[in-house]
Amino acid sequence: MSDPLSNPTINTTNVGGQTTTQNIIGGIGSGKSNSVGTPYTTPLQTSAHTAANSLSATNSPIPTHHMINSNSSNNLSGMATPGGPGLQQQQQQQQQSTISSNNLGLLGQQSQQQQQTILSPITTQPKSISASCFEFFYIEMIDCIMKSSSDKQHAHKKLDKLGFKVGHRLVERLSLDTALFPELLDSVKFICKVFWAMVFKKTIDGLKTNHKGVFVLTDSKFQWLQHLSFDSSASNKDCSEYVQFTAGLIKGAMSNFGFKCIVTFDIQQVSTCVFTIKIES
Amino acid sequence: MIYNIYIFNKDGTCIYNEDWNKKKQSQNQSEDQKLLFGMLYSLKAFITSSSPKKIDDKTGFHCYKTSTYKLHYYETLSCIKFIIMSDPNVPDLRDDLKKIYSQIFVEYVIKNPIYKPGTTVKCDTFINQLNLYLKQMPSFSS
Amino acid sequence: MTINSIYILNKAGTLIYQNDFGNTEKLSHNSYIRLGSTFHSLHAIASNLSPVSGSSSGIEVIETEAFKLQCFQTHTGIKFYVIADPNHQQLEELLHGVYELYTDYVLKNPFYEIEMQIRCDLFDYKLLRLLGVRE
Repeated sequence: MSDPLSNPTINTTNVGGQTTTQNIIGGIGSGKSNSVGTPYTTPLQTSAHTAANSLSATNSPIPTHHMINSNSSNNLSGMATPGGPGLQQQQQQQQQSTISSNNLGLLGQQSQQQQQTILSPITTQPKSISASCFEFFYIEMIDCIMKSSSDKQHAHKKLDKLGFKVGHRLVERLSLDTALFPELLDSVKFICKVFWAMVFKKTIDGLKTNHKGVFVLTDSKFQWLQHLSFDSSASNKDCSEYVQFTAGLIKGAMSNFGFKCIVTFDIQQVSTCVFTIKIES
Repeated sequence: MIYNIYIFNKDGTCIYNEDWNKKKQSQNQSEDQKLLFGMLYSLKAFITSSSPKKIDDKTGFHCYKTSTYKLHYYETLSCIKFIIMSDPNVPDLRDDLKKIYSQIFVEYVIKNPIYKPGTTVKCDTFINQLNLYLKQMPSFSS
Repeated sequence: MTINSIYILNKAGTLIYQNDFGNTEKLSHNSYIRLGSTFHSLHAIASNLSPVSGSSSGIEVIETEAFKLQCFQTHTGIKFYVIADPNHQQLEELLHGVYELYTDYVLKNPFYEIEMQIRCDLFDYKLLRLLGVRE
């Protein structure tokens, strides 16, 4: 999977100049600066990047777009970049960073490190994260959450909430350069095309709507169900927990566009998923 | 002609076994599996001791042949053993065993959220894919 | 194409002859006896594991990444096996040759006790000559 945050349409460091992009999530914790100009990342991005980069981007088990926002300043201090690889990581962070405008505000413990940063030509190289690693992680995560409560409904709600948070933040990042959506249908189309492509590397296969606030999205080869198969003798063929997270993702994304909705899903045949979005007006 | 396939995990449990073209009815499947596992264990130890050069435990042993069958062996780093018994004229199947491991076993068993490691493999997709793969091999029914 | 060692086992599976050639590592005599017996058992079990009905012989060839082991079992139950280079092609012929030498220089030796350790100089000499030619 290519890292969605290295989307070429997102502006990266602009030497000396100022690009006004949104300061995404409040600036607690240290920002990063470098020797020329003052581009720096917001804490969310930094923590996401450092986590991924410190594990080596080509084989990171946790794709950045699926990480839950953790306490940024703690994370930053925890992931001090060591020597040589640190340099590469710094460069990568620059490539991925969003730039907030020139408010110097928050130089934290990391400022020492930033002084050592050498500016490199900015290239947005797509990075890949092992899809297998993510799949294994995902399986364990679902398992862990299902075991954490004896009530299945409760566990499903947890997964939904988790997906909500991730979707909410992810869509913020992904819709950086797109114009405002004039209507509801455009937001849903964004989800079908851009959002789905970033998360699953493919677009939604079918979109239907009744123009009254109900949308039906069909994914005929849902990625996270591709390798799932039941024993031929199994009586209980319920794998809804593995799709619940995605329903939350959609819900979070839509809510960040300003539309509160209910997302239900239906698993048909082998790995075909149908998501139904009902907008609450 | 391929007779059967066995997959053993680290503890010696046979997690998968399927027969084709087999002409002998075995009295007791689990006894056969245990015998096979034990025999391979001893064979590997024998090979390590009698080898003139240093030999790796897992990748050392390739196959053995008798007058009626040939046993092909592939062991992964995670101690999962893939064994195919075929007739003696079949050429080396190690590459096929590697492919079965990486493209079929890992994809449809390890990545299957429903599968619990250590138990017998009963996943439909794995069984279907495995049969598909083996049946398209030229040595399957020759 | 190097030959590393030759082992001869009697009907009961006891080692009656062992020799190394080239720069094979020398093990203790007990280790050789142990290896010989292990092979005898493995040979027998392999014939039980046969997936086809009808009797199977024991192990004939073992292929590994560092060596190839070829075994020849006579109708009288004597096993000759050789450990050699993995690409060696004529091991079967070699083993037949060794069997011939065995019948000529061991069995026809009046001082040799059947099924006991082979301690015949002439056999050794002829064997070395045979292998010298083959190598």
